[in-house]
Amino acid sequence: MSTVQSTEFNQFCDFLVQIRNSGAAELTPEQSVQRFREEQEKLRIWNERNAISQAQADRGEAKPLDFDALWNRVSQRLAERGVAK
Amino acid sequence: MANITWTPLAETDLEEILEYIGVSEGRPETARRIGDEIRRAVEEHLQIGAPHKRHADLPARWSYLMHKRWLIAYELRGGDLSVRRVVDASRDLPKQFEQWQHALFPPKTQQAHVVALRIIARELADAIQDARPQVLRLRTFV
Repeated sequence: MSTVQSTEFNQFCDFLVQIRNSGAAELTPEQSVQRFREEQEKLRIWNERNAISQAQADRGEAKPLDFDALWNRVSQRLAERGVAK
Repeated sequence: MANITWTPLAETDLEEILEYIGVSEGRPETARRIGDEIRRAVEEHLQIGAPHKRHADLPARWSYLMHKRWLIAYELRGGDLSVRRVVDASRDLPKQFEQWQHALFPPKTQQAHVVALRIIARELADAIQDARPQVLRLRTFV
């Protein structure tokens, strides 16, 4: 079993305090660890996608939103998934 | 006049959110309405010069606004606004953003209850508005 890094341990402690203070459903220790890992994964995705978006902006790729075109793409995917118009 | 732009990833965020709503609720028209609301919320935010909220866990220079349960992160450059992310705060926002969660689901105080009731009332009004065409269609069949 690998040793837990001190920063990660502190993050886990903070997470437990947040859970306790928020009055969320009671968790077993195992569930707490699982929930913490899920939150870590969310944070990783969040930071990764933020960095991608920032890089796109820095490359000048941001443009006005064509909402009708966007909706056509969504609509097509919904139709492919069997969601009726 | 100030410009509003979206990065490709912000567009992808919005597409994914609308697809999720369309699938989970089975009502594409609701998804389209919410997409339109989010787009207009950004425009109004810029037009009325609303305050630019910051958060320590957002990249530097980014600000955010909330529209219902969706967080819209953006950057302001020389009066122009560029949308960076659109996130369902109740589903995809990390726990680190507890203060945003509290803004959405405030502690149980009297004032918070009033805010929550207003949100529920607005959701109900939207749901009724969405259901009306279906009821009318049913009536024509009957």
